[in-house]
Amino acid sequence: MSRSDRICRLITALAGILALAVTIGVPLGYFTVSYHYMHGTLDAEAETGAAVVNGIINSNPLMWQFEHVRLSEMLDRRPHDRVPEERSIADLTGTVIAESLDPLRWPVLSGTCGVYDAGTMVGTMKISRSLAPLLWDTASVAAGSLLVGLLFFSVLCTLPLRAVKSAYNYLQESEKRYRSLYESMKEGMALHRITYDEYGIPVSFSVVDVNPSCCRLLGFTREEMLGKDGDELYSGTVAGYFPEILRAASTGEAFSFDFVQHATSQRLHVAVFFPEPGFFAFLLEDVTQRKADEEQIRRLAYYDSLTGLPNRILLMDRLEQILAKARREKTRFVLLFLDLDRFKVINDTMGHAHGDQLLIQVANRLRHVLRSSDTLARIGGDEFVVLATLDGEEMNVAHLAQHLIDNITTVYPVSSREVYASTSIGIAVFPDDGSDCNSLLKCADMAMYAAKEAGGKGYHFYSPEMNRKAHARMELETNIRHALEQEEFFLEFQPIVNAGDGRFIGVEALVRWQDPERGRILPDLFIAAAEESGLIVPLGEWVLRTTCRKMKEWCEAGLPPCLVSVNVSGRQFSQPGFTDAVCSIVRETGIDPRFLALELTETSLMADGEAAVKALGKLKELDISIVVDDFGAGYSSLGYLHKFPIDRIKIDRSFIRDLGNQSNGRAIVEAIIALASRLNLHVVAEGVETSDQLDFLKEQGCHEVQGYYFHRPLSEETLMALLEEIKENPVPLFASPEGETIAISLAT
Amino acid sequence: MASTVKNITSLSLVIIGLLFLPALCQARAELIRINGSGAAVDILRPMISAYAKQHPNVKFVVNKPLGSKGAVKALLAGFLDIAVSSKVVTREEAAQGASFSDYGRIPLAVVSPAAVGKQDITTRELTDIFSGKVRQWPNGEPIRIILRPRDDIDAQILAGLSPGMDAALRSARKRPGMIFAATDPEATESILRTPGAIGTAALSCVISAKGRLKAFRLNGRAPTPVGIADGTYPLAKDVRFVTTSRTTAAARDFLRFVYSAQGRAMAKKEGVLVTAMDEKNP
Repeated sequence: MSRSDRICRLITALAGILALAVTIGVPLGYFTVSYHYMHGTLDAEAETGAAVVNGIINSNPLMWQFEHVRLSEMLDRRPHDRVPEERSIADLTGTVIAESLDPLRWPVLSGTCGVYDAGTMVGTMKISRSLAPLLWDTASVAAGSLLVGLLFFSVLCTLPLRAVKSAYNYLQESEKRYRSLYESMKEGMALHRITYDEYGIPVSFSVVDVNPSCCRLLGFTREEMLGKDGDELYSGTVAGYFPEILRAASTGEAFSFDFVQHATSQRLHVAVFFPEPGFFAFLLEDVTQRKADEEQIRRLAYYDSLTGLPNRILLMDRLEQILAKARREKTRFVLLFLDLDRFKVINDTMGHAHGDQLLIQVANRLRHVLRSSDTLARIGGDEFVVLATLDGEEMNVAHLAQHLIDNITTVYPVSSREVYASTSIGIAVFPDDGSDCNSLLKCADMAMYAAKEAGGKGYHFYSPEMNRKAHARMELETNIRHALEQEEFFLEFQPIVNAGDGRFIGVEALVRWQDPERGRILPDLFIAAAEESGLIVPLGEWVLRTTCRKMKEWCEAGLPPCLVSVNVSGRQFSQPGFTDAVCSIVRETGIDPRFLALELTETSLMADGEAAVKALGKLKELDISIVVDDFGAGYSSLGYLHKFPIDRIKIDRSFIRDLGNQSNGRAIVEAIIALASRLNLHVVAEGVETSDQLDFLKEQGCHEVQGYYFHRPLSEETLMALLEEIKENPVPLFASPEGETIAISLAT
Repeated sequence: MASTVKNITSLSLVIIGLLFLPALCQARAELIRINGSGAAVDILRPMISAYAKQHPNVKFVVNKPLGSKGAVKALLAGFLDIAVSSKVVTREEAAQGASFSDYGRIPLAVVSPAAVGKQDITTRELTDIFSGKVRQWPNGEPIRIILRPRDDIDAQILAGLSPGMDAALRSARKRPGMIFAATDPEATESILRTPGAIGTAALSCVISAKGRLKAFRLNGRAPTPVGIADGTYPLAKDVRFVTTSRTTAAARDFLRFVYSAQGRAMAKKEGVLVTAMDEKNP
């Protein structure tokens, strides 16, 4: 029989008992109370009547029993709405002396009281009433109670039974649901019973129940696990936590722990809870993968994925630690900031993948050179930081820096090519150069820049002068930005002429800065700062737009058109919207793009050769000329050269300057011109200052030249005057330093 | 010495005899115990006084009236020598040894205190009064009914006046606040002391009240022996004497006096219509 059936039977029985109690109890109670009330009433009436009879007796003690009339009259005295009664007075022999009788139905209830003469009982007064009306009333009450009892029974039976059945159904469904959940849950669940010794002290535990996931996690069948001792089941790994489990059971605190299964090397997380006294349960979760993931995340968060070295976050953390320790122990430590020399060129020319290979090799070398107690971190592209404690004098630091430079400066094999690399190191010392992490790092960074400026492949200690220079650089950047807003920049134009006959070919637009306070600022000062800060992009765009406007103005002024070259920085060229910006400016100003030339360095073009090919192609569609500037000074890739739609190459001025001194310079210029000739490219030589240089270039077949030999950069007014003059009279333009007169005319 | 002792003994006997003389005289006195209907007992009182004067050794014991039925029971139980009853002796009583002798009839008057200001009354008026339809005397005083027990002979006689009167009496008994009087003396006493009272009383009682009770003329006829004799007055109580074989000779001698011409004369004086002949004394 199920528990539900037992409860139903119990409820039915209780309902029956209660209904029976109502059915019987109410009429029984009514009858009992009414019976006692009637009995009491009869006794009271008999007592009252007896008191009257006593008076009659005492007034006539000898003959009282013959005072029939008086006694009868007394018995006849009844209330107006009297209940039928039999009233009688009898002597001690039972002989009735007087009576007043109403017809009474059976059964009859009587109340009796003695009558007395001088304290001696001489007879009895008896009053009787029929119980029939009470029985009828009781029967009516019983009938009503029966109805109420039946109703009570039905209500007590149906409602609770319905509730019980509903509750049981709900309970069964709930149990089924939870059982399903219990058996299908991914986490293992194991219920244990605590075993006590004869003194009531818990000594061990055994398994009471497990779910399938628990069997799977622990590698046992359910049958193998049930009843098994906990120590045996968990191979003693959980036994150490047993006291903690018992303590948690007594305090009700949450408790959890991890353990590793030796057989499977699985790491299981166990949450312990206590479903009832004397028992505890394990919620087992396989956290092997999660722990590995956490470790991976930790590595990703704190380590450089390329080299495996600590990243900037971990470096800062360790820096904080070593800083705190140094403050506490009043010791010193050193921070070395390493930056590979010319790594950008390597990265740009060989691609990032090759750059990454180089970085890995450098990191490995550094790792082997340093002590295990030192911290080596990679905090940027080619930036490494070494954190080392100072055991002796600063000379040791210099030795360490030089040791690092010596070990790094070598040739590295990168994808079957050999790449030479060196490094510059900036050194900052705690507490001399800074008292917090950021200032120390900043100082080391500045010292590194100082080492770079000194030519690289060296180290430099931080000094306050570096800080001043850094501030000056920052101020310069601010001023450039301000100058752009205030239009303090202007253009000058250096003419380019035909090397053979001196005809005017065009001009190269050159940006100049006239600061209202500091006067004219050299391009070498602000161009580098603009490149570094990124301001070269808006500045370059300003130069291009201004040049195009001037060209339009000259055209509208009726001046003869000429080729105008505009320098484009590598950073500007690598902007995603560069070609669109050029197109937009050309359309906006309405110039003839055939007279516009853009000068780009080899390095700019080679940074992303494929993208450069596409960009140059778009520019060529507009008929814009492309000039490779400073050819030979950068990292040339002849393989790409023939792919670019180049119109001219401009030989770097350093080669022209060296023409008179070194035979190597002549050979390079000859080679460049020969190469250009083979590729059908025009060659422009810049920085021509002497007739010897001009003669050599003419001899080698150089097409065009520019330099002080012919013209210094001209102001716009001078250029316009020159163009006006060319338009009116194609006369010799100027006399060369050697006194030779050159006739100049507009090239067509 | 012997004569001295003999004298002393004789003297002692004389002294003892003197000491017991009253008791001996008492033992020789005759005791007659009489009880019964109150009105009938009242009639006998002058006769008892007269007889007692003639017979000093006869003592009468007349207690509070027991009523006719009670007196007969007491007689049969040996507690009385003579019972004076207004009721007929039943067969059961006769079977137990009771024997009776009719003596006469006495008018039963409808009475009230003298101050109610009314002389005549009709059966209809009487019925209305007892049924509660009329509740005030003509002088405005409330009518207070003095009822007799259902088994009392006065009540039965009054109920026999008319069917309406019988119903009126039953109705009156059921009304709350009614005054009941068990015996004739109690009834007379109640009427006398209750203002505006109305009830019944034997003519002897009216006579002995000496004007304090007013007897109404019923339907124009006064309650007199003549009215009973000629049948014009309807209400009358019988007077009969009940004796047994145990009735003493003294008691029987007293009854002879009652039935004598002297006794009958005295009874007539009390308002009794004596119907018994002198020769019919028991």
